[in-house]
Amino acid sequence: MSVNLDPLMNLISLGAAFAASNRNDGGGVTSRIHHYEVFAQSYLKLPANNLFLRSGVRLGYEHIPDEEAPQSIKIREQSFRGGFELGILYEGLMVPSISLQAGVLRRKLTLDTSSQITSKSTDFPMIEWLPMGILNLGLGLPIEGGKLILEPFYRFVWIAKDTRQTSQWGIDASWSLSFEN
Amino acid sequence: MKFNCHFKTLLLSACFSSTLLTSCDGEQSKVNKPYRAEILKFVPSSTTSGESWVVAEQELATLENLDTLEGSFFSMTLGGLIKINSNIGSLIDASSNSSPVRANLRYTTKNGVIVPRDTSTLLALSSYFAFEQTLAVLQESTGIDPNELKKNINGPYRIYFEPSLTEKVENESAFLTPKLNAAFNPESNDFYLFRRSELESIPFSANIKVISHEFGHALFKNSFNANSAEICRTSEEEINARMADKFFSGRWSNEYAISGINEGFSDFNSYIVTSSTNVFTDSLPRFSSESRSLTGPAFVFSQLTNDIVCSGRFYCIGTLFARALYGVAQSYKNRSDLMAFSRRVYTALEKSRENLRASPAKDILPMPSKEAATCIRRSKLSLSYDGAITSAFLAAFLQSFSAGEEKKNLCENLRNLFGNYGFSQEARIVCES
Repeated sequence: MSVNLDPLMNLISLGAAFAASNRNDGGGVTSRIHHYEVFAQSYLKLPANNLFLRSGVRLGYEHIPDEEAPQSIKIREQSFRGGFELGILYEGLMVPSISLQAGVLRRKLTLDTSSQITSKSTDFPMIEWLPMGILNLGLGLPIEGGKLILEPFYRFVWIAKDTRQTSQWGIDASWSLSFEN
Repeated sequence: MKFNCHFKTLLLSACFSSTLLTSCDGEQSKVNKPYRAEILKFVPSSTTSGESWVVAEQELATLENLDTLEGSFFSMTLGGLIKINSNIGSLIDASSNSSPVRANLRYTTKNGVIVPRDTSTLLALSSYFAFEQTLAVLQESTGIDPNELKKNINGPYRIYFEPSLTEKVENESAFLTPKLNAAFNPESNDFYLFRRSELESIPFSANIKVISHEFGHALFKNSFNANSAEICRTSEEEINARMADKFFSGRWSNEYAISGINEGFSDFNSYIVTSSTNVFTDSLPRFSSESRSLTGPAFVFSQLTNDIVCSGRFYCIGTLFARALYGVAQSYKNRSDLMAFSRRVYTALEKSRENLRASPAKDILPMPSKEAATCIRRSKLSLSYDGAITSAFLAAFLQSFSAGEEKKNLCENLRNLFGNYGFSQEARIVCES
């Protein structure tokens, strides 16, 4: 049974995503990072059967739930990201997709110290703007005739000046909103 | 309209892609030697309350290559897998199973100063500086030229920053990521700084008190062990021969009492470098380490069979030795006198090895126990056996000191702390000359 995605020609979907990644902090030990995202996507039917072009915008936030660090000193990282995405998906019983995301990561670095350390550097906090790119491979599961799509994905990640994180895995959940031309 | 919307998205994606392709790491290479960096450093004081830790700009004087952390006397590498054969305290017998990853530092530069962009880089640079600070005191405190030491070990010293360990346990390999510790490998002259932990306050890896303690082991190897690793490896055939040879190769590294003396000298070295009397209190303030402190609760050698008095096993012998030296050091109010005393301690340690082979030390020294001959490390003190070994060592050690007030005070401290078991009447005759 295939899902009729023709209505998607006039479709915008809104969604949220959760992803996880391992950040290599050196020494063969990693920190787990959680990514929370919201996105909006639109679809264009392509001439080839069952193929659609999907574009979108995405905003995200990184959180490190259990960072291993000494009590008296660490450099705390808070990251937000925004970007655009463009990809192709195939309409079928499942909805496989491949897409490229390009964006920028805004990261704030703060030097956290305890009272044991009596003076602080004046160079912190500092803000970095890091371009990033993602190759996203997804496999969507349409629900309710395609109104809701759950799409587990795996990503290959590149962040400028930061090779600690190279992949992510997670799930998109999107809800379609059809509209008239 | 739909096509225009998608076309604009495509164009924006292409623009970002070109931005990605043209971004580079140019900032990381815009620094010249000598490198200056924001690091965590210890500021010593003559009083414990006056000590402090600061994050400040500091020069890394001996660092030659910033991106690989290689320098004239130290080379730091990130991670790596170390295969443990055995360990005694913070001395490790190990070999490297894999090439460690070169230090992958992440930093930016402001006005030519390196500013770390993550905790790993901050700690790695701070550790490197702590090793440099320790080495800077070397000539003054021991009389050794750092270049001579480097030549002795075919240096530089390698520092493994946050390595993982593998150890064979009952025919299975266990992989470990140790924390809350540091170690020295006398066979390879490597230092290991283990993984940071949420349980520590000042991280071990950046704590100069810990680093200078570990460096003390390197100095003990260079002096008492005559630059030999003294690794004890045996076969069944050799046991009887060893039990008949007081000076078989590898005995000293295996003896409970000498391991203690090694730890004690290392604590004393930490005091000389940092003026601090407790190696661990800044890193583990909640865990009482007062029994290791040079000014902690008093105990004597004969009490060491009771774990409640001191639970650190052979470390407790070391603390007694370090306290005896510290007691004399306190009498020197200016730095040059203190350093001169430190040099005499080092020289005495160096000569102890030979002095042990002569009377009176040789006569006091017991024949090796079966455990010692079999390279089995005891976990408990034997008052008589270990007492005889410390007595022999102290006799050998004190022989190098000239008669005078200093020797008299040192002898008195050792008598008070080691008593008749650990500093026997036969050994004390060296105090009379």
